Amino acid sequence: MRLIGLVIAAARHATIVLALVFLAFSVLDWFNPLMGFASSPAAAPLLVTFCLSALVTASLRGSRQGGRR
Amino acid sequence: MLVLMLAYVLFAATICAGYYEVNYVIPHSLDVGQEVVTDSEVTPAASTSVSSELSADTSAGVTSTSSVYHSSDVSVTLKHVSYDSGVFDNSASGANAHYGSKISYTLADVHVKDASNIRTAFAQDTYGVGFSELLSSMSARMGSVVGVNGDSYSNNRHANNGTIVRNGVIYRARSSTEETCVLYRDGTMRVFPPGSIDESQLVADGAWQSWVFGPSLLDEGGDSKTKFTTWDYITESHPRTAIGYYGPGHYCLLVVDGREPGRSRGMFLSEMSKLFSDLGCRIAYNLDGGHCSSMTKGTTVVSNPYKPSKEISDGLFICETGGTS
Repeated sequence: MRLIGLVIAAARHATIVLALVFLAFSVLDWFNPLMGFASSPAAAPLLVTFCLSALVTASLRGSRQGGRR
Repeated sequence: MLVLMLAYVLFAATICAGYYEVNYVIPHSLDVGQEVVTDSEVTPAASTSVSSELSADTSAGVTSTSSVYHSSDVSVTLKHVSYDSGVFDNSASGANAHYGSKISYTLADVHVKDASNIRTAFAQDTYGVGFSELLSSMSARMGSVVGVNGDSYSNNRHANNGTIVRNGVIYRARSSTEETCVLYRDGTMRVFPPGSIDESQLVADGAWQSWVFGPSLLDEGGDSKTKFTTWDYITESHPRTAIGYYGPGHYCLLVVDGREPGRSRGMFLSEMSKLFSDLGCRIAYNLDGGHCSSMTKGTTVVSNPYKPSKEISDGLFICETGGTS
């Protein structure tokens, strides 16, 4: 349970940080679409990590709240 | 809470900076695609179409002055033009208005006997990311008559960043969201709309060079355009580099100075389009501009870049036959 708590905390922090990263990428891509910060294949691992952390945050946190009820 | 938010922003900034360094700055070569294989040599039609410019007295050998180069294979004439357009750049919320209304450009009128006289080079002779070199240094290495910056291919990391053909080799073959300009071994030139290039057809047709930046500046009839396939920032007034095509063997290279208050603000795409139309070009294509734009004759910079120490990732060069690549 402690481990799950750590995972949820890490995922929550990662979700916020990576959201800020992709917001920055979106602004940069608006200025110069050719450089393709968000659309570059190199951004794919960051995007996957973002999606996974968001899923973990939403599902595990919701699961824990549901269990407490 | 504030400390936590600052920590989040710091972590995000660190990831962004690291991502930028690894993917755009730290030099690393990229995988090379396949070589273009063609049995076609330059056709006699392309050679004879160069006509009077190169059929003139070849017994004199090479003539070279500060504005002219003439040999049996290559003829280049440089023209410097300055004028007051009377139009200010009021884009960017008026931030560019202080550059004034004057425009200054250098135009190289180029005749070549063979498409192989038009060569390209990568910075530090390496296809990759993070490599840069002064245009004058690349010109020295190429032994070129005239050189200009290219399309900054390595900055284009978009997922659909197009097809790059350089000196007959396909380095990258992807779909593109931009128009692609292709120069063929027979000296003809063609601009492809986004997403319309067939790599196998490029091989079959003898592609020699390609550039992916754009947009094209003339319509199919060779007339100027007012709407362009690019984003709004590119249409504003900037220093410019562009290539024009009259017919096999006859081209022009344009470098517009810019961001120099009171001397030259740069050109809007629409102005550059009209210039190429007035010159009589059938095709004209915009290359990378801004702080990259410059032109060399020999190893001497003959335009007036506002950032003379800017290193670039690739260049386009007019060379005598047998120039190094």
